[in-house]
Amino acid sequence: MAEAQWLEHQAPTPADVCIIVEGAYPYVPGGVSAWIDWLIRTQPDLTFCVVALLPKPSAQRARYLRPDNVIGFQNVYLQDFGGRPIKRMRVPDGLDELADALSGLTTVGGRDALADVTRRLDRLRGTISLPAMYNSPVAWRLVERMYAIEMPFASFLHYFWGWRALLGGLFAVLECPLPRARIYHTISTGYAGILAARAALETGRPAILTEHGIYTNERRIELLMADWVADTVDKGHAIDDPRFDLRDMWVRAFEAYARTCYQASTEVVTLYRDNQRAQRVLGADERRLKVIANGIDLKRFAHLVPPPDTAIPSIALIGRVVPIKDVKTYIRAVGHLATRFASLKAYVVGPTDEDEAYADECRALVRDLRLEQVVEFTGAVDIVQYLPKVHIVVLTSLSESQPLVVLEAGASGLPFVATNVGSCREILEGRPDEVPQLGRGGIVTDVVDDRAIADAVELLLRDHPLRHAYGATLKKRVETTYRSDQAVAAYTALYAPYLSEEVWVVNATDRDSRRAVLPAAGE
Amino acid sequence: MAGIGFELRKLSRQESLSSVLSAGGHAAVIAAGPWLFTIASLAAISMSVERVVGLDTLATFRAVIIYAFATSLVLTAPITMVATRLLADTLWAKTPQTVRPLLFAAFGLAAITVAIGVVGLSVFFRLPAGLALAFASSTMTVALIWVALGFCGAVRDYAAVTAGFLLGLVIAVLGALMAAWLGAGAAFMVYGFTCGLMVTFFGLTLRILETFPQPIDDMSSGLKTLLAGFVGYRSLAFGALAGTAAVWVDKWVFWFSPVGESVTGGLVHAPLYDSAMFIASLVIIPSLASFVAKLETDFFERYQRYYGAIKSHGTIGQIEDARQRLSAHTLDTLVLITIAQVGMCAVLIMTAPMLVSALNLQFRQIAILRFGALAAVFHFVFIAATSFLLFFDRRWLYLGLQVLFFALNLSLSLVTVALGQDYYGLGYFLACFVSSGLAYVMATATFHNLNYLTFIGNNPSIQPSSTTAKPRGLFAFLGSG
Repeated sequence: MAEAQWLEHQAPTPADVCIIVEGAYPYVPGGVSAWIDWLIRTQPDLTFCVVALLPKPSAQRARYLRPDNVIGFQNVYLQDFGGRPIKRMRVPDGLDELADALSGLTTVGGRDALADVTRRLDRLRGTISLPAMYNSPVAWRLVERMYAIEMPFASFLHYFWGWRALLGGLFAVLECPLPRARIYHTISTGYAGILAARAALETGRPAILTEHGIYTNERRIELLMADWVADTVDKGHAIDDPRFDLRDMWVRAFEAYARTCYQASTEVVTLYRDNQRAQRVLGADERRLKVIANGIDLKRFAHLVPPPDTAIPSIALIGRVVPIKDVKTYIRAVGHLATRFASLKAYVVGPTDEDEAYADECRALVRDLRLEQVVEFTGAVDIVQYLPKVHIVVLTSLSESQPLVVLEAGASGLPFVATNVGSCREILEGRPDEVPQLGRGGIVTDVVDDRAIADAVELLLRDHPLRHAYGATLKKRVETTYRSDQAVAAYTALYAPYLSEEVWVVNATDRDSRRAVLPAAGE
Repeated sequence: MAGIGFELRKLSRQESLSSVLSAGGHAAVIAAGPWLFTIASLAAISMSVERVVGLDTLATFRAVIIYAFATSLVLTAPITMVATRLLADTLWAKTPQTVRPLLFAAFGLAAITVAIGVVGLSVFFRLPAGLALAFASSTMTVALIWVALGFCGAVRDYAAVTAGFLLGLVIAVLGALMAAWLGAGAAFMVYGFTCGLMVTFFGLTLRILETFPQPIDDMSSGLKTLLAGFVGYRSLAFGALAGTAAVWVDKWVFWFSPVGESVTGGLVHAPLYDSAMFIASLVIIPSLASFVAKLETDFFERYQRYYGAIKSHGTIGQIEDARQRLSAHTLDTLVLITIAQVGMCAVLIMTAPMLVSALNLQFRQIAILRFGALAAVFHFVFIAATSFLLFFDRRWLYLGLQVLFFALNLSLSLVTVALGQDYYGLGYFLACFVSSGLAYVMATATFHNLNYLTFIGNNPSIQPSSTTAKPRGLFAFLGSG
């Protein structure tokens, strides 16, 4: 049973790598979790410990088997506020300074801001319990001062809950026990990033960041879509109204956390170049930026052969049937294509049970467009069965990081039509610094542009030589740039220099002085 | 795509602040009110029947009525308090169809509780069957009145309450007088009196049923709600029990002291102490009445403005403004009414000798009357201050103060009985004095820290999650152990 394997336990010896992950592995299946599982399993000579950041203690089921080289595991709860409110207590000195430091960390951020907060917390250690930070007159003093500094014209009710949620997560990662490790590897900015930054500050060991999607962007989208965040300040038509509302507060905090993580990380890795723009904007040091693309196992796809040109024109969208994949745009594009081809087959390959309501809407759209004979929902199946049935694979997603399906289609020799999200353009058209320049492996369109998508698909379906050329190019590019073993080697190389260093702060409560020797890796 | 580590959406659900509405506070006032009705009705009877029947019969009748009121009041107080609070929740949640089941469940539970209490007392005092039955009928009726009264208080129809009581009282007095004139004896005087109480009960109940005409579809739901309410609001239940017992405990001490007397039938009372105290406590009525009136208007308006400032997304400056206005005005009002109360007390103290002779009391009751008058001042402050605590849902503090009041009144009354006649009444006065002082301090502190209490200290949305029992290293890290 996967659950039994993931009981919390401290690693008997310092792990080589401490993976810090927020809201994903080992509980939530998906791209990031699968990637972490891959990373740990492909570095069998290294030991890992995992810190999983979760909202609250709950009956979470682990979805991945624990790899044998995971020697420690720990949950940290970001929204677990502890005991009953404390009605009366002496408010110690130094709280205003702590409030100022917290304001700095949550509005601007940065390594120094984090160091300032941890220093002030150290000073208060022993006089205030952690629950008192949220549930006592101490909390009230903090929130009053921070509100006055940050957004004195906003809804206090909103600020209060926002403050509590923000600081809940912050205190949780600042005060949780820190597993000992040679490298702290966080898989996002946000609270995981703060925890990695804290680890680097406290232990002197390196923090490494691998960012799949850009956390701050994802949160911004989430907040924009969240209708419950009322715009609490009527900004009217004034262009630079200095007042903030709650949404600004959250975005600003996530940006500040990201800034802190970027500054504290020795390596800032992402999957593709486009992401680096956002990282640079939030102050990531150019010299630390790296791209390590995800790779796939070519063996699974190398033997697949595309269907003959004479077969019924067939396409597929491979992905979960959820709004972010914008399956409806795919269906509309198929609607255009159905009028242009005498016969056509369009598959939707992926589970429909994740968002039943959306899947029903998609089916209704198929009926409305009279595409029942054309569109087929396959449900969750092995894509290897379907790749040989189609001429082209299509992706209509509104957001992606580095979609593996593009690589998988490419590895089996199929060209691709994808929206311009994540690293799709980079994979289909090649990086500017690609040597040699391989050319196009597919066509990139705008998002939600069903007509352009239909046009691109039609072009490739009718022009057999072009389709074969694109397919061959994409296959070549995947084979040269996106092999799993390349990614494995890149991470082996990334970790290597930090594993041999023998510096270790032995006691976290005595952060600044005592250092001891940590045995080198493998001893 | 990295999953977000916490659920932003959940925040929106936490916005509800305390759902406490005014009924809680009114309940406290209402809980003190009945005890005054008790005295008023007894005074009316005593004065009107005295010439008709013998002193013995009158004493027995009076004792039965006092016992009926005291027993039912103390035993039903927790039921009434919890039911009233649940009613307030119901009204807040806008589910009026649950009112009737709740009312009838409260009636049922009160009847059962009182039945057990009456049997116990009848056995203890070895009451003759006829008298015991009369005692049971009157106690039961009064108990149901207390429950109905609580519901009337929550719907804030004081006019109906007053009318119902006045009408009932007139009929009760007439009923008792009729029985007296017919020479039917104490038990029938009680029945006559109970007839009037029944009129009050039906009047109040009809008023409630008229307000909440929704038919009952599930009778047992009321009982379930009520029993669950006893768990959720156990502090209120115990607080009400302690509070009502506290009002009577000094009388009980005197009943069982050497000044206590047995009436025909076996009940004990202490007319020396009781009658003086009952008269003294009448001076609290104008203060309580004006206090309730102020609650209804000025206080309630500012109270709603304060929570309105929060809910309509005010800044902390606006919230603080509203808090100061609420706090300053309320405390000023309390002081003003108390000053008026002091004035009445002074009059009573000065006119005590005249009152004693006019009412045919004993000369040695002058001191008790004076202590009683002084105590009434502080008793009023205590009632007002503790009702504020309920308005702001500080239930455990309310319970603590009521228990303290009970303990002080019990122990100090015992001491004064031991000290002798000169000190009779001093115990009750000191108990009121100390408890009211503390209650006033607590109420002031509540107003002072209201912002903190609203958002953190007393916010029902900020409660420990049930799964937090797990020990966590980080708590120790910050030194909480």
